[in-house]
Amino acid sequence: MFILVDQKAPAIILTGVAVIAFCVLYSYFKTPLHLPELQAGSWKIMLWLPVAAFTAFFLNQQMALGPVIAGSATGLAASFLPEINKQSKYLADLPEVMYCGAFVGMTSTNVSNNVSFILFASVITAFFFMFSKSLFQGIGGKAGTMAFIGVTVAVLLYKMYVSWIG
Amino acid sequence: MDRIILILVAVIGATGVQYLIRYKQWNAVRASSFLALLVAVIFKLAFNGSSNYLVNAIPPLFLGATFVGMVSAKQTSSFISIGLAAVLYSLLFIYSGKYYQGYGGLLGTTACVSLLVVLSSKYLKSNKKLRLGLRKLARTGKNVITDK
Repeated sequence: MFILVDQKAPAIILTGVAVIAFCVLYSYFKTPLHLPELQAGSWKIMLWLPVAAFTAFFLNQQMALGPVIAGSATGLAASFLPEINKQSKYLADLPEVMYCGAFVGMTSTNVSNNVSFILFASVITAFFFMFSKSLFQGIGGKAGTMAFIGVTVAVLLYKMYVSWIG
Repeated sequence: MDRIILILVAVIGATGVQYLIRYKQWNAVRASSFLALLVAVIFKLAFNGSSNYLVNAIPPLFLGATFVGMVSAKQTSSFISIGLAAVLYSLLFIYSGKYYQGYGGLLGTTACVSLLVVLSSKYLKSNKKLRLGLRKLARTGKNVITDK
């Protein structure tokens, strides 16, 4: 909402966003989206999130393949990891985490072309992803939402840091 | 005309992924990334460097639409709901996508919002929603008192 106001979005878009926000909140409280108790993911799995972010970042910005090819190629490669050992619970959880990391790596050069920014954003995303295990069960786009939160928070903290230092 | 094409592309992307997950038993990540990669590579090879709006908009739109199709059968089992969420997703992509361009995870967030709106409609149109809500509230209150 702040980004929309900052970019002087028309009133109709702001109203639309407000209506959608109401529906999302309604759905959040009424729909059985969450598990009754809070569960956290394993930090050992989360270590792969920055790896996927760097892979996607490299394919996107260094090899200039574009964000869609970079993100989907990273996700497709990650989806085959459970085939290495079908009994492994660790490998079974990797594709979703790595796909989330790939979304962080899809960040465009307009936002940042800095490797340290991608590392910072992916660590924040890993934190949110780890503690959202019991939330939004079975909803498509959950990983992307976590990546978006991570990138947005990283941008906010980075801008605050720059304004305080400079 | 461009908007209609984009809406159709989103519906095809979302339902295509759901089809692969449900009927071909594909892993959700593989279904989404495979279809998105296929479309992106075809567009890259066929129209590389083109400045046409549709050529540039379809690959990211399709990738986001595949996230809509990743919804679990526990949340919605209907292809119509998925199609409606895809339509809403494409409208959000067309009208508000430019404001957040470049932020990683934007497409996933848009897909998630579209799905939540469609899921909320199922509960909003229920005639018993107020009674159910009051009962739920009373039950929660009782549980809190019992816990104390």
